[in-house]
Amino acid sequence: MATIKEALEQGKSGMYFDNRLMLPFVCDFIKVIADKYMITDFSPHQEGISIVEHKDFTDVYFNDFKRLREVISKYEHVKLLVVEKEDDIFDTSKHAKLAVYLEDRHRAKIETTDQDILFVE
Amino acid sequence: MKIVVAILIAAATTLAAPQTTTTDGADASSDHVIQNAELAQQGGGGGRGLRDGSGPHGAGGGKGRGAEATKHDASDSAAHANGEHANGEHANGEHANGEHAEAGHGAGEAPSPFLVIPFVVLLLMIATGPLFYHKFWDRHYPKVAIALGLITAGYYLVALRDDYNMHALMHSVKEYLSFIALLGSLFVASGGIMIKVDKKSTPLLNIAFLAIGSVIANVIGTTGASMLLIRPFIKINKGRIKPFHIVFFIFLVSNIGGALTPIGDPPLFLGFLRGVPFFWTLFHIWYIWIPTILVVLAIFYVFDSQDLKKHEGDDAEQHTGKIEFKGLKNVAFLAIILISVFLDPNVLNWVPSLAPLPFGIRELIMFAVMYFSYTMANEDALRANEFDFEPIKEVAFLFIGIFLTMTPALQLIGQMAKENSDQLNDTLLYWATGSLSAFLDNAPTYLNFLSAAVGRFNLDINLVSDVREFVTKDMFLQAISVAAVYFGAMTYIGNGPNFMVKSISERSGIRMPSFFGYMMKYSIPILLPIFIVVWFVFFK
Repeated sequence: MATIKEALEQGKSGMYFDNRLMLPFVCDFIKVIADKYMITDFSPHQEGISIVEHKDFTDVYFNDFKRLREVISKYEHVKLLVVEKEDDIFDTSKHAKLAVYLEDRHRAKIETTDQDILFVE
Repeated sequence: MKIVVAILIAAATTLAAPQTTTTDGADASSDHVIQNAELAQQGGGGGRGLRDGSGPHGAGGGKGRGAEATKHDASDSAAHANGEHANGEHANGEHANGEHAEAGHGAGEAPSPFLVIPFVVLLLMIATGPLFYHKFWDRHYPKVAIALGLITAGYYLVALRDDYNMHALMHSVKEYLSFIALLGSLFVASGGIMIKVDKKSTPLLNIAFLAIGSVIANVIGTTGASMLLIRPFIKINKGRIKPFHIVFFIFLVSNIGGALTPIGDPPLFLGFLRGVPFFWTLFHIWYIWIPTILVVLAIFYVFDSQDLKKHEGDDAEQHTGKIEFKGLKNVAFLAIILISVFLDPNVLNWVPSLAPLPFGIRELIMFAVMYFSYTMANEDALRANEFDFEPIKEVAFLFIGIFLTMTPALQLIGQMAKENSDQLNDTLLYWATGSLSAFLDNAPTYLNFLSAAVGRFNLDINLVSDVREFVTKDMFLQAISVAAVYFGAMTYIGNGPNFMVKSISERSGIRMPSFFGYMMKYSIPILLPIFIVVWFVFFK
């Protein structure tokens, strides 16, 4: 199972196609922020987002958007508050804040958010 | 969408041209339209206005009430010739009909009250769309706003083709362009500036920050100050940020703070465009502004001190105390915007008018600044600010609709005010302007009630000279200005920056209260009692 730590250390990028964001790791989601939408409900009845977990990657579908690129501008990013599968989700020190930049050729660059980027947990 | 806007502007432009020619060479169109001095002298020398009474002065619409001319002296005529009106004598709002109306242009027909429906529908949809049908609203709000605006504009173009009504429509287009040029340029320029304050969050630091923000709001506008300062404010309080921090920021920096200058808040800028002198607000509102700011800050201090107690010891981070700054070029662009605000023929005689175009040198400069401050901005600052055109795009589209649909409302309120002028007083204007500013947008609301108050003296809001005459009477304007600015803080939709600050905060991960949560938890219990005291002390 691919972990967040491995993906970041190896500099792995995700991919995006239309409203689908593919992350090169498997994790538990706490919060997702895309454009002005903050999503904290990842249950099956949530219409705005659906998450499909695979062995080594995760598909995130933003069902309210046609294309992510139209919503996330050049200087914006999708923000993820996530935790490794094996870590204690209740231990806030284990929470990872990630920024996903949508680049050319469907590449989704993933970085831990730097100090300049506002991301309140 | 761009095409529709272009068509709209082109239509307005073409409408302006005939107005200057069909009145025997006189200016029947706009207070910005330049007529040459020769024409002014022709009119002024004869002691009679060049134009007929069907022009914009005819705020009385189709109701004939005899001819009352407000005489202006020769210097007034010269000033008009330089920048505003070419007439040597002009009729006031009551003067639309009578003998002047018979000069060949039928008097302006007052718009039907039913024409206000698109305005009401649009404002209701702005309030309810994001709450109850946000998917539809998010996708279609530009079409809705433009469609409603075009319904109103179309009615004017087809059914009300007289000078008075064409002038009113043209004026709305001009004001929209000025409004969006200022807001857009401030938004883009400040979006390229990043300020990072690495200090430990304390109630005193927050108070200092909000107080400085309130002052700065008068220099770079509530929009500029909000965009510039909301991120550093969140960063300072990162470890313990709560919705109330953002709400007080909206109260002070995005609204109340900007009550001192026309740059401060959009309604005051619209007043300035109509003829209210630039420093009028500063000299007439500062003694209301200071106690209000102090009281709101004191309440914030109580909230923040309580919150800090709960988080005592949470912030173990070492703070350097440094203030980091990126985007110096954009500070220069902000300065250019501020200087260009004064580049109006009504303010400086030497500034050329571009009439009959529906914009001036000032707007061209602002649009140019918008372009260059984005293309030349520091990329790191843009990235750190997560710059996106969406917030200003939203304001731009919604306000096309608001400015067009509010045109008949402005005319009707001006007319109603004349008919019921005896009943207008500070209390009525304060609460009427305030309550509407809270739930509608404060910019058009201010104009509606300014129109009413100006009409009280048989003057016309469409004439700069009439508005300046109204200002000298020193009545009502203080109540309208204070109420429009202050009450804009009562809801998210009361003022443009409120939405932008909410949006930035949510994008940063802060769960902001809903539309009604904001009112029930914060604005009604905190602001309303303060506003009642303000009314009691200053306007009762």
